[in-house]
Amino acid sequence: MQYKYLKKNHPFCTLIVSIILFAISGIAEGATPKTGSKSQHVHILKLYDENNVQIDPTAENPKPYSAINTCGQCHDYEKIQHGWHFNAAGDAVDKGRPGEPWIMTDDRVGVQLPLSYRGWKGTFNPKDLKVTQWEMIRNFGRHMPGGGIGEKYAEPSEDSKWKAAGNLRIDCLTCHTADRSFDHEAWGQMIKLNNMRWAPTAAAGLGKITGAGTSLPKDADIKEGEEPEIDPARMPKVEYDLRKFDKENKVFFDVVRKPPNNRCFACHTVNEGGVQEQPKWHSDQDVHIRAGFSCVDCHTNGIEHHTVRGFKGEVHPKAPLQAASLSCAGCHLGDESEQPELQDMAGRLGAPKPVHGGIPPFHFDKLSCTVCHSGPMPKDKVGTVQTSMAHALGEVSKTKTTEDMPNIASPVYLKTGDGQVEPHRVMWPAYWGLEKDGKITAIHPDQAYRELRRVFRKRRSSSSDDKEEPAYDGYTPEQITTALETLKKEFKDAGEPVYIAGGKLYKLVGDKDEEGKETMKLDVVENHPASEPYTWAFGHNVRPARQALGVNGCTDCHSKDAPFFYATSASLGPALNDPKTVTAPLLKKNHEWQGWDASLLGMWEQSFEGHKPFKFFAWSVFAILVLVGLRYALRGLGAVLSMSCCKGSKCSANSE
Amino acid sequence: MLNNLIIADGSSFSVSIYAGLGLAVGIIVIHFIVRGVSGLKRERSGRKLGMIEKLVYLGVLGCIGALGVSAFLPILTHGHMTGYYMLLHTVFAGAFLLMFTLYVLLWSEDHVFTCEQGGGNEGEKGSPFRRGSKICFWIMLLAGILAIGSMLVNMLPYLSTSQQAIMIDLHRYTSLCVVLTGIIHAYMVLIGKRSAH
Repeated sequence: MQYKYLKKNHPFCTLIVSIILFAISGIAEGATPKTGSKSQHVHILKLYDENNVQIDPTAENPKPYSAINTCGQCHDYEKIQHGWHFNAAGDAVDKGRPGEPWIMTDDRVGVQLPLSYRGWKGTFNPKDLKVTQWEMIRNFGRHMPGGGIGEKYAEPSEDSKWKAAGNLRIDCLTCHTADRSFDHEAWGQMIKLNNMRWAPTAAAGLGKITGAGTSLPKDADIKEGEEPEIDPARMPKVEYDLRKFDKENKVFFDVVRKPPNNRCFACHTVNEGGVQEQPKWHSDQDVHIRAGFSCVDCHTNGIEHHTVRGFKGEVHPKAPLQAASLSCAGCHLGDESEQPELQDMAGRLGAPKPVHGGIPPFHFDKLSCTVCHSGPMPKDKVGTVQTSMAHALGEVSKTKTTEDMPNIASPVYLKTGDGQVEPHRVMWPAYWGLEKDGKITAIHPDQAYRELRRVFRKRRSSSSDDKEEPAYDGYTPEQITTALETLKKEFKDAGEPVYIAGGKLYKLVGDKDEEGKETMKLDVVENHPASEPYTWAFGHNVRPARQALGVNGCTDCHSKDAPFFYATSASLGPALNDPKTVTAPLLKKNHEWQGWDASLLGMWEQSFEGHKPFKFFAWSVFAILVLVGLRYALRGLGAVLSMSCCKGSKCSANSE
Repeated sequence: MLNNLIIADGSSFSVSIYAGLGLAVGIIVIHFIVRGVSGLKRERSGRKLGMIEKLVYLGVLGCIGALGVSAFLPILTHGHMTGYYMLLHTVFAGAFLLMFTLYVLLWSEDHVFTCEQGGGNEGEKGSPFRRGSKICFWIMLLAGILAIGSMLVNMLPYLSTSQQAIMIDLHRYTSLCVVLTGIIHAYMVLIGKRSAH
């Protein structure tokens, strides 16, 4: 009967079966293969090039391997590429709390510009500055994991050589390799050489790259999926290390799900400088790291790679509760928000609940956890920091100093939007700009250099060929004046040239000399809105409880000259920073950053000077009060008990 | 939990301030009206208060007023104490501690309940205070000890944040009690001891 039915409805059944089979095959194709085990899967992989063709390392002129196509055989690249590390230039991305910007530094013309696509207040959008994505990748790709503006949002521009260099696609190994031979420096070198598509191969140490994209003509085009149209002899080449390939041309990748700290540090190293500088062996690192944590234990993510940043009030696109439970308070207290579920999530990863004995609770409304527990202990002067992203740490250099631009001050304690004080890093932007109708537009550093190279150049007399080179050692007011005059001639009606540095705006104003002749003089405006510093909060390194601010009592902060309130930060910039000239940096104490009334602070400090005697007095007087109270309480009790005899003229209980 | 506790309590304490002040004023007004209707007249009895006693009492009332204003005003307007209000509060807290102790030492004997009031006798000269005053006095003493003690304990480095939050709550409500009983007590003292004539 059934057979007959099937026979009769043969076309219909065929259709149904086909649909089911198609659906199953579709699911199988789209799904990510999984082992289901907590044990790490051993990744012995075939390598694929950017055209998704398996690489034969012995072939003549083999192509560089593509991390996307190799890893993408199993992992969903489409999902991954929208993660926090890749999505800065995306349109529909929550910008989150201001973070460290990319700082475009050009010491030839005294420029340090905080750039970000995220629209953080105080940063410059590279698009507005006409800084192309190609430039961004050339400048900062060294500390990017690929993807984002290197690929998805990469736009062609006049200066770009995307076609020859290839896009800088996400290199999964940048984070997910446990192989200590992974060479992040090689990644950066490839980018400098315009060898973007060769960068993953070089960094992974799979082969030796010779040749440079920089030597290719500007219009050279290596279209993806097609053979190069340019002379192969001029192309960068990869010579694979055959020892790394097995007989099936497979390679073992020491891939790990949880990136090791070493990989995070490649881009997120911070070194203290200035008064905070100390030898590396004096540093204890973050207390969590010392306890055996990995960065990614807290800064974790799923396949979408929306990495938890871990600050209070973070809006996580995928798992808001999970993210909230990984902030300091979320993990240690569980009381960060009104969400009752957080209470049950407290104590993750064995986080102890702090007692904070004797610290008045309102401190926890006014201060973030990081004020007392993060960064170096504050000193009377605010120190500086050097970061991987800003100072290209990780690149070997014999000339690097802790004074190198850009100048970033840290730790500065200032209030965030929600009124809580947090430790911040601060940088004062420095750039040449044009002021028109009250609005200041920054000039691209390269353009400024073209116009000002003659102003700032210095003859190098020791050089045999008498070569000229621009020299930067801090600009004098005279140099700034000359530079502004030069720009004024060049830009004419485009606006009044200005120079912004160290929290000051320099511009030329009309004046008369001794003979009454019209002339221009340098005018300096302090604290101009355009010269406001860019600040961003930080959370690491975390110090343990016994190293926290306040461990010695209230006077750690509430005393005269306590660094928390009185440490001074200087608005250091590329100008001379000479106290004798108008380039003198602006000095600002922490309490000024926080907006506290100095006289109120002074009164508090005075009150804390007498804190111990007051406590002694208060406890003594309180003891008297309690004794008096007890005396009458006992007397009253006695009276109540002897109420029965209180019928005559006297009560027995009161007879004394 | 801590934030919830403090924030929730901040708003509920504001309600308590309004309710408490309303209650105290209500009691005074009702008492005043009843007293007028029933034709009670002033009667001077018991010993006269000395100058020092009066000054100490004025000092206590002044401190209670300053503490109340420096605490309640910022709480009612901003939800919490901060800045100069906090400083003022701590300065007057020290003065209150001293004045309150003197006040208790000087005034407590006169506030012992008499046999008619349900307690012991009032001695040869007798108490110048009525029963209502005495009830207020002893409540004020108890609340004052709790208010002062809760803050002194908080100044020791032993209590955790949540325990301190409980102490702060205790301080708030007992202090409110001190203020309210202080107001009623002052009213009672002002109208003096009266009886039906």
